[in-house]
This record gives sequence, structure tokens and C-alpha cells, in this order.
Amino acid sequence: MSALISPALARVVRAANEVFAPPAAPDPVPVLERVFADAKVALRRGLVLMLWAFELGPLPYRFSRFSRLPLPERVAWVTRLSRSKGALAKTLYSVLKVLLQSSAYDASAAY
Amino acid sequence: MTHPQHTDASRLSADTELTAEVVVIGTGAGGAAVARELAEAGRDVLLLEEGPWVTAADYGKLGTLDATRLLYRDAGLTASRGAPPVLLPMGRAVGGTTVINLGTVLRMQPEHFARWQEAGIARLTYAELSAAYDRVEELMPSRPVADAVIGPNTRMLMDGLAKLAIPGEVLTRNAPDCRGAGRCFLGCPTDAKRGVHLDWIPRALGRGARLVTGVRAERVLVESGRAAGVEGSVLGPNETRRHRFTVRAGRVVVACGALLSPVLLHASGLGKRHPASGANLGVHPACRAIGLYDAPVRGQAGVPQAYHAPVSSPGEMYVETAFLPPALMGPALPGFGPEHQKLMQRYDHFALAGFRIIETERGSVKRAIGGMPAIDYALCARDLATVRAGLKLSARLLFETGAQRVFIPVHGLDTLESPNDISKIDDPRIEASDLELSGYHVHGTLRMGPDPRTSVVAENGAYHGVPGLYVADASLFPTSSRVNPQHTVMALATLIARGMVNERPA
Repeated sequence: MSALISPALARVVRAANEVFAPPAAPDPVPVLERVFADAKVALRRGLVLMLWAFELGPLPYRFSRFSRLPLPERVAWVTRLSRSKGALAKTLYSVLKVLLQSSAYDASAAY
Repeated sequence: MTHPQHTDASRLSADTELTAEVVVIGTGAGGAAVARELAEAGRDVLLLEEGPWVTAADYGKLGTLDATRLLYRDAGLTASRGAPPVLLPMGRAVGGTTVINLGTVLRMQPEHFARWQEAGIARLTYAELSAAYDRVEELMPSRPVADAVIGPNTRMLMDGLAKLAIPGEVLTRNAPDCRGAGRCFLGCPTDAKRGVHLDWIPRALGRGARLVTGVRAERVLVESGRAAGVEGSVLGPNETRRHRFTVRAGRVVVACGALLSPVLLHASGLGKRHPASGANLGVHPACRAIGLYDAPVRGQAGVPQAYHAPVSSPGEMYVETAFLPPALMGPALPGFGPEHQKLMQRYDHFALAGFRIIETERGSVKRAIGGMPAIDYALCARDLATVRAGLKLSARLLFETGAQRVFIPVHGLDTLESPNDISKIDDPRIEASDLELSGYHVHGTLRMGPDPRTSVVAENGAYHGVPGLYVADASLFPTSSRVNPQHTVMALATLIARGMVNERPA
């Protein structure tokens, strides 16, 4: 099976990781590749779709993809997601938080 | 794990067809108990399992994410649709969820069995169930958690419950030699917790049963109106079909758990036979509060779940102790960035109070595209009130024991700064969709009963209307068992298998 996270998506994951995880956290891309390496195709596709939705979410509001925003604006965007009552925003926030903070704190050196 | 009677299907190089007298689909609590009884009675049994056969040698040193990947279905991300989505983690290995549960084994109480009788159970008696519990305990020694492995998180909550005059009890677990490693749900690193992959499956194989792993059952074969076997796939990369796998058997026992058993029957064209098929889903939705203390607690030490206390008002619930490893504590705490990191640096200063409710409304499961379960579950107003009560009680317990702040998984109200904030949990603007819930006791989706119009399976486990087809897992529960379901599943499966032994072979 080919890589789950393309180079473009890897930029999204790392940009999100700078917001969600502590600075000493390991690179989450190989971690996610490993965790979802054997996952069923539907789950892998769902994850990719979710990452793209996260990346393109700011486009109508900030005229930029998430990964191209400066860090303070990324933090502001994630804060906005965390406060949203919308189902998609809540889901995106929760999934990214779980994946990236789990990946970060599975390595004890991260905190 | 290897055994002469075990075949890892990934080594098969072509489509395969086997025959057996009985094929058992699933090797969790139900499948293992059926296999043990039938094999000991000399029946020719073939067990099918989708996941691998692993032990502490394989999972004992893995981190949280790698253990989750190895032992959980879909990396532990199975969730319901509805408000709120409920996370429903399931085991996917030989031993099923007994590999990753917390090892609590409790008998259903007579007053709760009486609710089964009110729901239509007429032939099965509590005396029979008790005898079956006895039989299960012969091969699954269980005892109350030893004082030496009751950790500080549990002791703190025991103190809190005592201060609030709420009686509780130390839990009984199937881990007599537990050393309190504190990571049962990642697979016990010392195999002290006796999941059925350690004793029950080897016992069945020792009596001639066969086990094939790496196979997904996709359809129960029904010919001339009766069960004739199972068709499925040998799984290749990313759970795609590598080869076809067929078992011809006159008796088929479905024991895939309450989410997947109805999906398998739906895929077999049997879903529409009974209106109750896939309905009546209960999960015992669970929630938590995390307290932050000035002094270190070391909540991670000892048995994660060692004590519980039943509460009956405003709705039924059980307050339970539990704790999380860092990889799960991180996402459970609110926020992100430097403030979140500061919280995680105080990991030793947390205590966790959990609770699960006995829901009054039920959900459903059906087959979605790709054969995955589509789980519909929503929290009704009454159950939402019980969850609010559970959150308030958990927060009180933590403040009573000295917590400086309490974190709850409620959108818009994730931090309680003092006991005065507890009343904010009653804010009517907080809706069910604002909660984070999980469920560990999935049950009820192929409920048993005498009437095919209101149940799916008879009290002897036989599927209504298809001779030779049986169900033996928590799908059977007509109502909640209240307590953790493993022990009751194993007792029911034991009774079902004994009934099968006494029937004429197909």
C-alpha cells in the first residue's frame, strides 16, 4: 500500500502539530503512517479527506490554506474550531487533537 | 502465539474450503466459551478470527498507539453517528475484547436478571445462569482486587465516596496475580489478566478444535433454509480480500460482538427477517472528570479499575475508577499549545473519576457500505440528565479530595475552577452534542426471547427460523446486565453450547 500521507498532506499535519503538540514532540507523519499502515481502505480514505477538509477550512475566511497561515493565525483558527458548535468543526478539531496529542505524548520526552 | 491446531491464513496461497461440524465466528468471550464446551464434548469445532493471536510477548512493551493498532479494530476509532458521537472501542485479536478490557468480571445480580424476565425471558432461570457462572469460574479464577495493587487514584476516590456516604465495592477481576502494571486496555504486559486467548482458546485447541486467524467472515451460508457454513476472505494488505475462504458446517455460531454480529447477519440476507435485528443497542455511555491536585497523586499506579459504586438517582449509573496513560490523557485535557503542555507536565498530579450510565433509550446498528457497522445512537433528554448528574458527582468527588481544578469533556465548559462551578453543568444550553462519551459494554442488538416478532434469537441461542444458526455474544442481552458483560456473555455461551451438545448433530 502506498503512503497514506502525501508530501502536501505532510505539510498540513506538521503545521497542525505546531499548534496542537509541544515543541519537543516527534514528527507525527511517520507515527500516523505506522498506526494506519494496516487500516482498512475506507478508514485511510476518511483520514485523508478529513485532513484536506482541515487544510481547506480557512480558505473562505482567511483566503489561505491552513498550512500557509502564519503560526499565530493557525492558533487563532484552531481556537475558532474548538469553540464552534458546528458538527464538522467539532469533529475536525477532535480528530486532529486526538491524533496529534496522542502521537506527541506517546513519547515521554515530549513533556 | 503458535499451536499445532492454529493456522495463520496469511500463509494460504489460494482459495480455501474447509469442513467442520461447528464453525464459531469470533474468539472473544462468547466464541471461546462455546468452543471450550463443544470441544470438550468431542465436537469438531473450527474457530475463525479476523485478528492475530498475540500475547504479552507481542504487546507488553508497545506504546499506546502501537498497542492500539495491534489490538483494536480500526485503531480504536469505531464510533456511533448521532449526538454526540460515542467512541466504541473493540478488540480485534484472538480473545476479542477480553484482551483489552479492564478484567472486571461480575455476576449479573438477580434483580437485574428479573428485568430480563420482565422483557420476555421465560425458560432461562437465574439458577441456570448461576451454575454457568460457576462453570466459567472453573477456568477463569477471579477474585477481588488485592489491596497491594489498589492504586492511589482508586484510594482517593474511595475516600471521596466515603465522604459523600456513597457505598461501593472493590471489583472482582480475572487477574489473580495482577502486579498493577496499570495498562490493562493496552493488553496486560504480564498476562496476569487472563483474557480468553490465554486459557480458553488453548483448552479448546487441546481438545481438537482448530483456529484460523486472519479471516473475515462475510456471509453465513444458508441452504434449504438452514445454516450451511460461512464464506469470507483471507485478509490481505489494508483488509482487502486476498483469497476466498469457505467453511462448510452444519452449525454456525455467530460471536462477533453486538456491533458486528448483526452486520454479518444483515450481509447474509437475514437482517430483515426480524424487526428487532440490529435494534435495542445499549452501550452504557461513559464519561469522566479529571482533577488537578497540588501534590502528586501518581494516579497511573495500580489497577486502573478497582472499585465502583452504583448510584440510582436521577438515573442509574456506576461511578468507577479509571486512569489514562499520557497518550490518552493528553487529548482528554482541554486545549492545546503551551497551556496544555504545562498541564501535561503535571501528569503525576491528576486523578480521574469515571462513570457510566444505564441508558433508557436504545440505538441501532446496520450494515453500511463496505460492510462496516453504521451505528445510530443518540442520548435522550433523560439520559442527558443522568450524564449531567454523573459529571456533577465526579467533580464533587474530586473537589472533596482536594482537587484545585476539574476538567470535564463538555464543549464550552471544560474547566471547573471551584466547587461553585459545578452547578454550571446544569446550564440548559449544554446539549448532548456538547459531550464526549465512550462506551465499553455494547449489547442487545440480536436480543433473545421466545417470540420471533420481538426477538431475534431463542433463549437457547438458536436464531429464529434458521436451524443450525446460533448467536453467542452480548447481542443476546434483552436489557442491560448493569455490570460489565464479559462474565454473563461467557455464562450464556456456556449454556448455549451445552444445549447444542445435547441436540442431535446436524
